[in-house]
Order: sequence, then structure tokens, then C-alpha cells
Amino acid sequence: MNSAQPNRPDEEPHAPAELVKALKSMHRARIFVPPSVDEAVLAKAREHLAESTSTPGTRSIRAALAKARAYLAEFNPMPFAWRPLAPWAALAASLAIGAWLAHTLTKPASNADGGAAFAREGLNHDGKVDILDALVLAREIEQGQEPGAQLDLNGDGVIDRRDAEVIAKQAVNLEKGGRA
Amino acid sequence: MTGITRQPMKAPFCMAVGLATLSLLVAPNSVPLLAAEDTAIRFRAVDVYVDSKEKPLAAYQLELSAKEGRAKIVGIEGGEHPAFKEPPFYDPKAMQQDRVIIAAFSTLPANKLPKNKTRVATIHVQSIGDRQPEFALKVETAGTVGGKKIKVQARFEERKVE
Amino acid sequence: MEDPTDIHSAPDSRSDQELVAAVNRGEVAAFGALYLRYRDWVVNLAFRVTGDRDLALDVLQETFLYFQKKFPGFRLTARLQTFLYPAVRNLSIAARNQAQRLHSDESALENIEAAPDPMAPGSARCELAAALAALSDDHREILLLRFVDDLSLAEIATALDIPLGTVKSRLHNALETLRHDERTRNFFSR
Repeated sequence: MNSAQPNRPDEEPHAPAELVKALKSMHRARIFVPPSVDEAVLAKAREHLAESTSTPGTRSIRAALAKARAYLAEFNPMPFAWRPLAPWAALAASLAIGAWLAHTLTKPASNADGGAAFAREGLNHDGKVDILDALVLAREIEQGQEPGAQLDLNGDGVIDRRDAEVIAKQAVNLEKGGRA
Repeated sequence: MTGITRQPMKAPFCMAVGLATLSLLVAPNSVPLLAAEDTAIRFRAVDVYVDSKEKPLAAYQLELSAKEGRAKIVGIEGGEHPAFKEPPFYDPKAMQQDRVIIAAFSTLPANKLPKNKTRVATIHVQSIGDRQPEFALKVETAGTVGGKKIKVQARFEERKVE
Repeated sequence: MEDPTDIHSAPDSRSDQELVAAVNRGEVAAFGALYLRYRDWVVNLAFRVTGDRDLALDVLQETFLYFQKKFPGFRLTARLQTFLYPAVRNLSIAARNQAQRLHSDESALENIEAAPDPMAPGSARCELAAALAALSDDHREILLLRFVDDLSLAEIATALDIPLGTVKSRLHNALETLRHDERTRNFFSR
């Protein structure tokens, strides 16, 4: 379309290429976004998604509850006089199913005793869990030493730098203030 | 209506407040507006330095907090020395708060660790309002090769972000 | 420290809808990909409205904070730009208004002025900026959405929640105004 000709109201309005180029150039003011801003946004997202995303166990519980509700909604054999109790009965049944599923599907914490012992003493036996414990474990690993099985803190069956990082993350935990 | 005394100026004001409150209540997913007190937003960088006084620095753990003014931590970067180039460990909950504990360790050999004053991290802070936040830096612990505790000096320097 | 959101890796080639579906499944990297894809556009749009870099950066964060709260369960039916535009615009206007209230309180004492226009007076760019400023807000907004942000007319209608016919009409009128404006008429006669 010849951009010099006026647009007709019923057509999609076009602008001359030079005008479009000038408009884009004018608004190309690039604002530099510091990496720290990127990290802040993504850290918030990470936290939100981690909290709000359901685990397989939670999904199963919810599915079971939904099925129980649907079943009870469709098939209600109770005598009319008992019907007010039906929602409470459904709730009790749902909770029972949910508790059973949670018990079945929840992975038992590994190294619970070892974790407690670690938390009490830390690796350098100063009574605190801090970054120095992470350093000690990381060095032991790098030097090929074999730390005790209780130091598989992330429960993946292997004691490696990632377990040292678990210690480091605990050290900087704001709620604990970095202390055991 | 009879028997009701109205104060002309109060009624429209009350209606406006009521409507505003109602709109906030019924529209939980509406676009959040900046709070009235969020003004004069500035970014600043807080460079954190540790001086291990000639001893190889293998680990540090520090707490930075804003004491006065309003500040939110919005980002954390690593330091200048290769041993501490990566961003330190920190609690993600510290983001958007005014306090953070940072910590890092390095398993590099002693001759590859910093021994004097070195910038170990930069904490980016968003300050809100006209009052500049005052920061406090506390050393929680520091160690040399092998995890042995050492005494260090820590300080911070603020700079405005370009 | 492990970080599943490696924003320095190669750009994600998935569509906006695919990424949104992945975020609904809890994939943090997908949110990072969407953020990177639209970050510069959001911050530049915010700067366009607020005229202040710090405010634009704050609007950027508020926008993605608003967006992340939509998950899980968000369904994207258009381009993400179309969805984000009203949020960015409203946050930017609110930020600008609050900043102006603060400055107007101070200006009685300090007479704070806006940053000087970096364009050379009399330059084509300066003339275009002046002509754009003379347009009504509605017309200017649609003109920039179409030719700077490359939104289609249908996307603009969705973003602004106005009929497609209104979009066409405002865009037509904006172009006609520029066509007859002395400062920009040359663009139309080349």
C-alpha cells in the first residue's frame, strides 16, 4: 500500500516505513537491568512456585478427596433424616483417606538421627552449624576422605559437595540466624 | 429521609473510602498499586569487604542489615577474588527484606586464597523514601584452610548503581 | 549453589503458551524464560510512561511479582505481551503519579524540573517527539503499541479491553493527525 495515501477507516491503518523506523529509534532507549534485579525477580518466583506447586503426595490426596466428594454427591443412600450428617461423614472419610495416602506416599526422612547429631555439634564440634562446617565437609570430600553416612544430608545416597551446600544453606537461614 | 442529620462533607468522603475498600476486597487479583509510602525508590550497591590480615581466607559468614530507613535487598553478587567470584549462599527469604546472612567457602589451596582486604560480595539494595538506610555489618564467623577460625575485619562501602 | 533458572543459557524456543504450561507444572526455568523474553519490553514500556529509570525498574519487579501470583492455574490465551500490557501501564501510571506528588511537595522549595530533553532542538527526532506529545493520550498509546511494540490491532484491542473498531479508528486518527502536522508531514510524502 502506498503509505503516502490516506488510510481508509475500514482498512488496517498503515504508517510510512520511515515514520515507523523513527518511532522505533526514538523509543529504543534501552534501560539496563542490573543482574541483581533479575536475580531478585527470579528468586521471588522460585520461592512462590516452590510453595504453590503440589507434590505427588498432595496431588493424590486432593484427587482422593475430590473422588470421595463426587461419589457422595452422586450416591446418597442415607435416610432423609441423616442427610445433614452426610457432609461431616464425607469430611471424616476424606481425612482418613488423606492421612493414609500421606503415610504411604511420604518419603521417610533419611538420616534423621544423623541429622540431629550433626545439628547438635556441627563438623567442627563448636556447637554451631555455620559455614565452617560446610568448608570442613567440602575439604574432606575433595581429599577423598569418607565422611560418616550421617552426612548424606540431602538423602541422595552420596556424600558430595551438595551435602556441604546443604550445610551452607542452613548456616544462612534467617529464621535460625545461622545457628544450630 | 426525616430524622437523620447529615454532615454534607463527610458523606461523599465516607462513600469514597467505602468504595475504595470494597473494590480492594472484591478484586483480589487486580493489579497491585504501589503503596502510598513507596516513593523515591533508589537502587544502591553495598560492597562487602573482608580483611583476613595476611591469613588465607577460606570461608566467611556475615550478616548485613538495614538499621534505619527502608530498604529491600534485591540482589546479591559474588566478589572480586576468584575464590569468591560466585554469589555467596543466602536465604532466598532475605530478598525483599532488610536483613541477609551471606556465606561462602572455597576449597582452593592456601596460595590461591585472598589474604588481604578483598571484596567478597555486593548486595544490591532498593531503598524507599527519602531517608537513606543505615547498614550494619556483623561478622558471624570466618575461617582459613582446614576450617580453623580466624579473626577478620569486615566493612562495607555503598555506591549508587549506574 | 544450584540454580535451576540459568538465565545465561541459550534462549528457550518454546512458545509463550508452552512456557506458561510448564510454569503451571512448577518449572521455574520456564518462568525465567518468560521473564527474559519480556523483561526489556516491560522495563522500556515502564520507562516510556514514568520517564524515570528507577521507577521503571521497580515497575518491572512489581509486574513480574503480579504475574507470578497467577500461578499455578494461569491460562494464557494470547501473547504474554497482551496480558502484561495493562499491568505494566497501570503500575507505571501509579508510580509516576506518586513520584509526581512527592516532587510537587518539594518543588515549592527546590523547583525540581524534569530532566532536560536530550534531543537537539529542531532535529527531526525532536519534532517527532513534539508531534507525538501533541496527540491525545489514547491516540499516542495505540500508535506506539502498534508501531513500536508491534502488537496487532486485535492484540491492542485485547490489551486495552476496547473494541477492535475503536482501535482502528484511533490509530487512523493518530496517523491522520501526524500526516497533517507540519512537523511530521514529510514522513508521509517521501
